This record gives sequence, C-alpha cells and structure tokens, in this order.
Amino acid sequence: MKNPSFDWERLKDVFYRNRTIGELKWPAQYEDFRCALSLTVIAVEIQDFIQIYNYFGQLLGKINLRKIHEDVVKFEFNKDEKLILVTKNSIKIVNNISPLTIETVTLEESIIDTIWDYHNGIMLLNKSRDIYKLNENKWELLYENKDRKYNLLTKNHWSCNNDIIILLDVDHVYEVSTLNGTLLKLIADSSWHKVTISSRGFICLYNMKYNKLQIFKDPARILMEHDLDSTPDDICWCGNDTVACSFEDEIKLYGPDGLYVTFWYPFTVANLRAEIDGLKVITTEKIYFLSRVQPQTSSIFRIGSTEPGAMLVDSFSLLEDHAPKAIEILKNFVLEKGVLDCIVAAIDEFEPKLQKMLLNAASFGKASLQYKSFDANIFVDACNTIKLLNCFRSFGLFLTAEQHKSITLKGVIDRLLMYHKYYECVQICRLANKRSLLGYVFTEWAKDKIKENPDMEDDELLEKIKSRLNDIGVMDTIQMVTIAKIAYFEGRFQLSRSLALLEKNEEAKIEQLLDLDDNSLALKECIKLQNPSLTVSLLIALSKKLTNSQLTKLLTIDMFNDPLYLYYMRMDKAYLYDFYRQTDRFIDLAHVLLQQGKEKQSLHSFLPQIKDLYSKIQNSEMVSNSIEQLQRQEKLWIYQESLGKRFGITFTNMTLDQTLSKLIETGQDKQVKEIVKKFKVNEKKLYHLKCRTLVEAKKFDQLLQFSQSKKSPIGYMPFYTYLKSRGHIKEAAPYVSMISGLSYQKKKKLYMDCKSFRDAIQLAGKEKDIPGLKEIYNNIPSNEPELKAFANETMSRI
Amino acid sequence: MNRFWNTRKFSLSNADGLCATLNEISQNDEILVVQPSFVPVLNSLLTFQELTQSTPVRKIALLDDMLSDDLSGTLSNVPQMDLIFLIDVRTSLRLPSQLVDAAHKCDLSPLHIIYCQWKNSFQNTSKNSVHQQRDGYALNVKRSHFPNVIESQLTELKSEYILYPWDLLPFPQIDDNVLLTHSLYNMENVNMYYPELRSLQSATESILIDNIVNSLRSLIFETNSIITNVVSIGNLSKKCSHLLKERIDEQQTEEDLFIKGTLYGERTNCGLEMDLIILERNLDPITPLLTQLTYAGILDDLYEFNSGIKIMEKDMNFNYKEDEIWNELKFLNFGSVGPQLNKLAKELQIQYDMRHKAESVHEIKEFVDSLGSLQQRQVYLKNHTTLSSDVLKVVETEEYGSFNKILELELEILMGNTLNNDIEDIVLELQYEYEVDQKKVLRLICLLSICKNSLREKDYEDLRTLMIDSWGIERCFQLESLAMLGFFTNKTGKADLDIAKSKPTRLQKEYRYISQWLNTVPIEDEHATNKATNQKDEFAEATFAYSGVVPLTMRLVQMLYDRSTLFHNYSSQQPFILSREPKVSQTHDLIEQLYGDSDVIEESKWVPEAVTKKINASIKSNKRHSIDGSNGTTQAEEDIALVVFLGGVTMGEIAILKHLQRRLSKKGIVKRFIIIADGLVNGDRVMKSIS
Repeated sequence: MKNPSFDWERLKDVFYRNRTIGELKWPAQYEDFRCALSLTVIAVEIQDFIQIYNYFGQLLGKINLRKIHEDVVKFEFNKDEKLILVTKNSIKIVNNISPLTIETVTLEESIIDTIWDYHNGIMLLNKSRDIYKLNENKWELLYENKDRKYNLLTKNHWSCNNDIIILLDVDHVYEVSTLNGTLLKLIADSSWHKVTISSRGFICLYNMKYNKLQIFKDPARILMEHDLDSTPDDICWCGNDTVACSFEDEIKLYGPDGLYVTFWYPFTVANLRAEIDGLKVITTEKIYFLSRVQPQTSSIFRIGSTEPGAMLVDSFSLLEDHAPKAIEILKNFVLEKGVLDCIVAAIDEFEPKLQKMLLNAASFGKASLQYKSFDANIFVDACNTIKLLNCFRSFGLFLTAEQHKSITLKGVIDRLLMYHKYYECVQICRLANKRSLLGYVFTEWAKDKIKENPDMEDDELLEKIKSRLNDIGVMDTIQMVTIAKIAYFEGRFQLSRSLALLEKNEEAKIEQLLDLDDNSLALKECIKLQNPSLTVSLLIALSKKLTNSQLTKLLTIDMFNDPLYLYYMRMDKAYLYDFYRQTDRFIDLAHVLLQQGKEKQSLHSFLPQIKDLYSKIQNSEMVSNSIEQLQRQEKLWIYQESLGKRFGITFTNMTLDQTLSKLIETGQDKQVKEIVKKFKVNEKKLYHLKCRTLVEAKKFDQLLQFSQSKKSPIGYMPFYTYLKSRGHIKEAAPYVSMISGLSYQKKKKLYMDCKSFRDAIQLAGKEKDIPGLKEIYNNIPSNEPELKAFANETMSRI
Repeated sequence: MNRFWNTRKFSLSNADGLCATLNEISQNDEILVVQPSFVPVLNSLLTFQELTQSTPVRKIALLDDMLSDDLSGTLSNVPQMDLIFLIDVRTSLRLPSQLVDAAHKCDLSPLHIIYCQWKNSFQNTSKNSVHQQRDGYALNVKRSHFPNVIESQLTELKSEYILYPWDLLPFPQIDDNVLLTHSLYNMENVNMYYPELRSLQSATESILIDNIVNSLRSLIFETNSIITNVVSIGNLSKKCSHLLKERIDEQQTEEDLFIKGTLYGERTNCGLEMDLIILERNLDPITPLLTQLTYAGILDDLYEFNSGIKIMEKDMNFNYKEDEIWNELKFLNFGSVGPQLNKLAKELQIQYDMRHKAESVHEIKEFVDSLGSLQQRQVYLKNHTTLSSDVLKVVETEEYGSFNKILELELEILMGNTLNNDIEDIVLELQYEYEVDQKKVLRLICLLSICKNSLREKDYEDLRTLMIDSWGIERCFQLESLAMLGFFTNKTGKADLDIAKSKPTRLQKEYRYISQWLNTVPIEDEHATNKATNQKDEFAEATFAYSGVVPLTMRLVQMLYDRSTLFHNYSSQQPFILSREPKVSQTHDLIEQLYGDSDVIEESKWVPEAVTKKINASIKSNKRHSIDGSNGTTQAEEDIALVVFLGGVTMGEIAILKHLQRRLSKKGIVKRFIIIADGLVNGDRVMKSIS
C-alpha cells in the first residue's frame, strides 16, 4: 500500500495534505458564471437558472430566475445551507427548491436605498453603507453610517464572521460587533484592500499596493506578515489558522517566519471555500480538499516514525508472516496510545482501505491491552462514525469528522431533506440508530408528500402515509399534528382529521381536532383516553366555544353515559337541573332537587315536585315503591296539619314516630289510635314508642297502667331497660316480675341492678339460694339495716 | 427490586418536592393558603415547624370562606408577604370557589398556585428532551400545550397566574406497607366510589380509576419495578388494570422493553416476580358493614381517623414511625391490646429499673442516653392506655350495651341463623331497646339484605316503612340509593337491577353458600384446637379482626396463592395447592357462582412469557435465597405483591392481609403485601356517603 505521507507538505512542524474529493461534473464550460459554495452543495448560475449540484455533480434542483422577477445581485448559502438570493431590495431565503418556497425579507419602506452587499446575515446599504443584521428574518439596524465615518470602495473591503464585521475604510480599519453594533477603530491610518476573517476570529488583511498580507487577532500583536511575489487570485483561510492564497494553478499556505508551502494543481484553481478544518479547492476539472494532517496520522505514517501508532501498525503488518516479531514489537511502546492514535487516524482517512487497516491495527492492539483498562466504546463509536461518514460520502455529502461534528447528524439530515433525499435520510437514521430522527424524517416526508401532490385523493395520501408509517414503526417523535396542519392548510380537511387521529401525543391530538372544529371527534378521542382531567379541560374549552345548547347536544350524543361534565358542574345546581330536564332524565332531576332541598333545609317544599317527576317513570319497582312512600308522607302531612289545627301545636317536619310520641306525651289516646289505624303502625312499635315516651315524660303511673292494660307484645324487658337506662331504677323493679322466660339468676341480677334488694331477697328466698342471699347481703349498703335484717331472716328461714 | 420499595422515602420525597417549590417561588416570607381537605395530608407529610424551617413559609391559612376577609387584613399589616395557594383538584377537577373569590377580592397578581399531581404524569416529554440533549440536538418544535384543568379554569380570571406542579407519590401513613392515595373522597367529601348524586357514578368512578392508575404508575416508575403477574377481580378493577397497562406501555422505551426481554424473555427467566392484585369494594360489601375488632379498627369506628390518620376528638398523633407502641398494637384484636399494654409497661419498668443496677459510669451514661427515648415511650404508652380504657368504657358500659348485641347479631346474620319473621322485631329492639345509632341499624339491615341476597318482599316493605316512619322521608331516597347499589334490596328489585346495562360487580349468592365454600366463618372448635397447638401465633384463622369472620377479600387474595381452603370446602379438584404466582385457574366457576359472571376475574402476565417452562419451573420450585452481604445469613427473598383496593379498605382488612402474609410465608410463599388503597372505609363512612 502506498504510504499516504508521500504527498504531504511540511510547513514548519505541521504537515498539510491535499486529497481529491471528486471530479468536477457540473457545467463549467461557460466563460463567466457566478457560483456559490456551501459545505455540501454548489449553486451555479447558468443563464436564467440557478442550478444546485452536490460535490458529485448530481443536479439537485434548479431555480428559474425569471420567476423571481428581480435581478439577483448575489447569491450565497447561509449557515443552514439555505440558498439566499440577494436582490436590490430584498433577500430571498429559499426554504424549499421544489416546490419553490421563498421567504422574502424586504427592506423597510422607509429606507430609500438599495442593498449593496450581503454576507452571512449582514447587509450593507448602497449609498449610506449602513449596516443591517438579519435577525429572525427581520432587518435590524446594526450601525448607521451617519457622518460617513467610513467608506468602502469595493465589496472586498469588508467581511464578517458571526462575531465581528471588519470594514476597510480608505484610511482606517474599523471593527463592528454584530452583537450590539459598536464601532471600533481597529487600526488607524493604514489602508488595505481585502479582508478575510477566519471562523476563530483571525483577521487576514491584504494590501494590493505592497502585495502584503498581515494576520492578527488583536491589532496590537501582529502574528504574521508576508510579502507576496505576485497578486493572489483569491485569499482564503485553510482551517482556522492558516492563510491560503491561490495563484492560477497553485495554492500557497503561509506559515510564520515567512515560511510557506506550495501545492500545485494540474488545472486552474477556480474557487476556494474555507471549511473549519481545511480548504476546498475547486479547479476546472477536479475538487480537492486541502487540510492539515492530524498529529496522530502524521505520527503513524511519517517516514521513520517510532511513535506508538506507527509501531502498532508495523506490528500489525508483520502479524501474518512474522507473528513472533509482531508480538515482540508490541512490547516496546505505549500500546494504549498506539491504539488511540490509530483510531483517531482512521477517522481522519477517506480511503476505506486505510480506514480498515488502521482499525484492524487498533483492534489488534486493543485485544492485547489489559482487561477493562480500555474503554471499548471509543472504538465502537469510531467505527460508527466512520461508517456514517462513508455513508454520507456515498450520498454525495463530503464531510470530515470535524465538519460532521459541527453540523450534527440533524444538520446532515436537514440538508438531505432540503433536496428530498428521504431514502438516504432513512438509511442514515437506521445506520446511526437514531429512531427519534427517523420520526423527524418521516414528518418532513409526509409534509412534502402532501404539498407536492395536490391531485391525489385524500384516501390515497392517507394510505401512503399509513403504509410508510407501518414500515418505519416508530411513533415517538413523529408529529402527526404538524402533518395534519399542513394538510389543513392545503385544504384537505378530511385528511387532516385522519392524520390528527394518528397522533400519539394525546394533548396535541385533542388540540388539533379542536382546531379543526371537529368537536365531537375531539371529545370522542378524549374519552377514549380515559383521562378525566383532560376531558374536563377539553369540555371547558368547548363550553367557551359553543353555545349552551350546542354543548348539551354534544354531551348527550357523545357522552351519554359519561356524566363527567355534570360532575364538573356539580355545584351549579341550576345547570344540572336544566340539563336533566332537557334530556328527560326525571329521576336524576328529582335527585338534584332533593340535594337542593337538603341544602336549603326545606325538603318539604321540594317533595311534591319530586313526586311528580317520579310518577313520570313507569315500570320500575323501585320508583313505584318510592312513590308509595311519598304518598304516605303526603298523607301524613295532611294529617299533621289537621292535628296542628286541632291542638295548636305545630307538627311540621316531624316523622310519624315523632308525631306519635308527641301525641302520646300529650295524652291524646284517640289520635294515637287513629294514626295507628290510618298508617298501619306495627303494634310492637307502638309499644316501644309509648313505653319510651312515657318513661321520658316520667309518667310512671301511666306506664304501669299501660303495661297492665294488655299483654305486651314486646314483653316487659323493654320497660325495664328504658326505665333503668334513664336512671329510674326504683320504677324499673316492678317490671322484673312481669318479664317472662327469665332464669332465676337473671332475674336476681336484674333486681340487684336496680337495687331492689327486697325483691331480690324474696326471690332468692323462694329459690332457697343461700349463697345468692349472702351475695345480696354483701351488696346491701350499710345504711339499710332493715334490709340486712330481712336478708338474715330469709336466710335463717331456709 | 425489593430495596426500592422503601416506602418511607416516598413521604420524604413528597415533602422535599413541596419545600423545593416553595423555596423556588420567592425568597420573601410566604403565607401558604391550603385547601382544607388537603390539610390533614399536608400535616402528615411535614409539620408546621419543619415547613417554617426549611421554607420561607411563615403562616398557614385555610382556603375557606373566611379567607378573603382575613387576607385583606393580614396583607395590609405585612405587605412583604407572598401569598401561595396549595390546592389539590385531582379528584375534584374544579378549583375551590374560595380561590376564585380570594383572587377577585384581594387583587392578587400574579397568583401563585401549587397544585398536586401524581408524579411522572408528564414524564414522557421531559424524558425525550433529556434524551435529545444527550444526542446533541433538539428537534426544536414547540410541543403544543393543551391547558390543563386548572389553567382552563383560571383563564376566566383576569389576573396573571403561575402554576407550580407538585409531584406526589402515595405515601405510608398507617404502616410501611399501606399506601393511601386519598382519592376516595373529593374536596366536598363526596365518596367517589359511591357518589351522592347517583347519576354521576360513572364519572366519579372514572376519576377514581384515573387517580389510582396514575398513582400506581408513579410508584412503578419511581421504583423502576416491573410488574409480572396481574390479577384483577371486579369489573372496575379490570378497567383499572387495562388502563394501567396501557399507560405503562405508552411510556415504555426500547430500553425498557429490552430489559424486560432479557429478564423474562424466552431463554432466561430471572425468577423475579412482582404481583399486582386489584380488588374493588363491591366484591366484598360485607366487610365494611361489620364491626371492627382490631385496635385501629375500633378507633376508626368510634372516633374516625381523618385522612391524616388523626382523631379529631383526641389530640393524639398516630405516627407509626415514631410511636412503636401504636405500631405494635394497631393490628391486634382489641382483646389482646390490654395484655400487650401490660407487657409493654412491664418492659418499660424493667428498663427504668436498670438504673439501680447501673454501677459503672459507662452504664449510667448509657441509661441517661436512653432516658429520652424511654420517656417518649412512656408518654406513648400512657396515651394508648388512656385511649384503650376510653374505648373499653364505651364498649362495655351498659348505656352502649349495644356493642356486644350488634356483634352477636352480625355473627348470627353471617351464620345465617336469623329467621325471617324476626327481622322487624330485631330492628325494633335495636332501635328502641338498645337505642342504637341510626347508621348502625341501617348497616345491619344492609348486612342482612346482602347476606340473604335480597330480602323477602314483605320484610323489605315493612323495614322500609319502619325506617321512614322513624327517621323521616329523606330516608326514602337513601334507601333508594342503597337499593341501587345492591345494599338493600328485595327479590324483584334485585332482579330489576341485574338487567341494568352497565352492571357493576355484585354479590349474587346468599352468604351461607359463600361462607361454606370459602370457609369465611370457621367453626369455633377447630379454631380452638389450632390455638392450642399453636401457642405463639395468635390466631390460626384470620378471624380476629371481625367477630369470628374472615373477610371475603382476604379469601379471594388467599385463593390466588393457596387453594387449601377451597380444596377442603369447595371442590377437591384444584390445579394446585400452593403457588408462588397468583393464579386464577379453575376459579371461574366459583366466581360465576359468587358474582354471576365468570369474567369478573382476570389474570394476565405483563412480561414476556417464558417458553422454556421446565427451566422456569425448576427455578421457581427452588426457594430462592438471597445472601445478605452484611452478615452472611440467608433469608428467603420476598416478592412484592401490590394489593390495590378500589373504593377503600378497612383497617381490619389491612390487619388480615398482614396475617395472610405471615401465613403464606410459613407455607413457603414469601410475599410482601403492599396495600394501596384510595382511602379508608368503615360502616359509618359507607352509610354516610350513601345518603
């Protein structure tokens, strides 16, 4: 294999090399043509067309200048590689070649001047030479050259990068900051004729009169000065620290101390373009890339190098034939550095053969390293990068690793998308394993698809998009909503809706559907998500958008079984009332009334209404039960009223039981009987009630009378308990004997509990229970000697 | 996986989240205005002192009707204070009206509002952007932002507002393994499972599910857990598990899938397991209607815990993290609380007595050091002794003699002993003779109706009239609601209900069959012999939390792992007796008998099924042991089983599940049940919410 170092040139301690990128294939036969270069493409103006080629000479697109209706003063690419056409009054940013979409930024009407020159976002006016900056597609005055502070003779007399603008006045050199537009006199009383600025801010000035180059970053410290032999055709930065001048068919690179190297070309140099890590040289036949040789590469390939990298490559090449020697070599250098150097060098090579050789060497060296001492990811990443770069090159994008890093993968994709290279984009995404980018590519593809095919049917388009979607199989980053928006702007409402339905981001989907005025669909989709809070916020949005009746209609149709909105409106009883009334849901309506009644503490007044509503429902057992009860209640009210009139006591809001109790309390036996008969009150219940009421009213005599009037259906235990629990133990005792079915022990306990010792003693005496009597005796309080005597007596009797 | 379920951390991360937000809002002194329903929860997260120390909050106000008047006063006095609202509208979905009022009156601009949300709700987008930043590019597209519920309601307000989300996780309040989400009741204290306005039920249910699902998801993502086996019983539970699956899958990245694939894929199976069991209240409406007998349960029945696990009447802090005595007692049968307290007191005494023996300076120092904790312990012991004696007073005194009567009655109803014609008499007796609270009477009637699988026509009518006569016509509607929910039905009405379209899961069998099949009322003497053989373990059967009854929920959970009960009582044809994975196989028949629909129960696996069953089985059969690095002892590694209750859990059930966990681990199935519930229920709460 040929050692790549053969055509290197050395400038001081740095090597430079020149590599062919490819043949020049675009039409260059015209004598005088304007062209603009970008990192990846070239735009050439041929007659009335601007044609865009990549570096392989493939025609990517054309722009018919006649359609622009204005003279194009200049064109160039901006940093996103969008073509910018500069006319007298405006600049036009070409966002898309086909269909041609142009964004025009015109001068403000108040400016009575024309554009003189434009470069890299900075524009100078023709007469005043005022400086404007393009800021988010608006002109922004950066510096107003009011009193003609400077005068620029030719377009070579100024230049700019992202940070500064250098103006070469006739007498002085000025610097304007692009940030705030402050003007600074950089060098006084010196005149120059050409300026170029490197991306790192090195300034190179050229004086035509003395044929002299001067390079500095800070004017107080001139870094380099060169006297040239002849007038250069062009001056350009190679990388960001070396100046290159082109002279017909040679290019000279200038180093410090008057050193320079020359590269000869077989053809005339037509154009130069500075890249961040080198220089693109376009000759009439071929394109070259002139760049500095990475120190790692030079240490490997330099003749006679004994650096680790070179040793590793040596060892690897010996491996096949003289393995022992190869192993021997491995011991003699820092292996890890060798591996790293080989990896870096591999990335820097264009030639697959060399890449392979270097990677093989690295892999070999890596395997001999100590386990886990080396992060294998470095190697894997390098392989991936090389794969990607090779892939780019096969697609006509000539990028070095450095350039790729500066524009990122997304930048590459964007550049390809600009020329509708979807297939390539997908390939790259797959290769780089970036699924999120794949989604982005898909989104862009679908957008263009819709825009480019105005004649296709909605269904057809949808099918196409869907089938591609299946192929891709990622949904995460696809923004269906943006596609849907495009479809909407194209007037395809149906398509837009269908696309919006495919969106994965729920909120975005709902919002888009809402924007499409497809309220019902939005609501349906929202309900499907089962996210109540999202649904409610959609409903709130809808309630602002729609009239009340429209909303009700929507709710009844789409949310028939889902009362979420009603839940949201639960505080607004009037709304609920209206809603249920409109939808004929009488029971629910009744329940709303019921709640209202409870809140207002006047259920009474709502009940008739509720009853009416209930009676509208048929065939429901539950409802008919309730109606029955309500009717009974009404009957009670009527009766209560009549009672109230008769006795002058108000019975309102009393339950049946309370009414009964009241009547019992007041001793109205006749009415009690009447109620019992009228409302079929259970006899047992009556007994309980009466019993309790009488006890509470302390009408013990009546109670006794009542108990004896008839055999109690509830037994006499309740009598006892009522009395006792209310502390009337004296009165409770007599009932013990009435309680039937009690054992002796229990009876005794009951007597004891109500401190009726006499009865207890008698009882125990009857049972001849001496221990029981003793127990009773012990319980008798000491202030009752009589009882104690009685107990003793009973005991002695047994 | 286990170590990530350090539930105490959840409380800390919640508290930290709030402090961070409050610090971020401003450096001025702040007044925090808290929605009243959220105060107990806030209190149990961090104390006022902690809040003032770590944040600029100086004052806390309640977001109630008095607020706007108070505020204008305070603000004019101290102009430098910032006002911050803390609201929780996860279940209410509606801004508190007082907030709007306050904003109008006090002319606050901008309005600072902190709102609660379940953590990770919007994890998707943030994850993406992190991902992209790492790749060095951002797809610079404006994510459309649909206004959330709060924003869309605030737009009606003129004033400016800034919203701060507060990411919450469910956190433990009762026990390390019990996480409450507090989504059962909304701002107005309406039960979301049994809402007051019947017609809103499906809406509140969907909100409840949404909350539970989000909280589960937040837990799963927080702990990086992978759920393997899922069993859901009940229609709502099924809905819940489906939604959870959907939401988890939505956020799954390739990486997650890869991890799952490798852990559980075709070739390998690591044997890690995590179960999710979702139950709903309707499966077992009986348990909450019973009187609870555990210490915590009795306290809940008598005094009612609020959402901060505090009792209003008694100013006592039931913080299980600090109060060890509470931790020991809470799940014991109240009968054992006394002896336990006695034992604890003795222990304490012994520790105090140590000081007499202390001779060397070192020993004395040790004692003095421990003095603080001893004194603290003494305080707690005193508190619990007083409290339990209070409880005892209530339970035993003649005045409330009803307690025992009710217990007796409950057991009788459950055993199916009550005769039909007695019902009315019994109710009358309870109502008048024992003067039992209305709610309790109603509860018992409901219990009866459920256990008998609806009442006879005549009984139904009579009871209905009786209740309305004594308690007023409003009851008519409560009874109607109860009927709709299947709590109080007659034969024909029940049939009516079953025809309804979207029928919720409901018991369809008389309890005597259920108790027979599932042995929920274990026979007394068997119990006794077990007790004799097993001195140390309190109860062999889980009957201690309720009077001699094993809750149905417990049997259902048990059935998934251990079929011995079914084997003895239902059918001897069981596919297994013990299983490490929860399995529903061959239970459909039983479930159909119980709920009238065999689809009520559902089992699914959320990880790729292992193809090589054999290897799998061999792994499973080996009891896995993990070696604890620190001391080299081996201990059986426990699987986490999340048991989710929709519609609330009772204190008794928590205790019972703990018991089940112990029982299962004795049989070699080592599980750690983590109970996640939307709230606490008991009989009173259920009856109160259905009115």
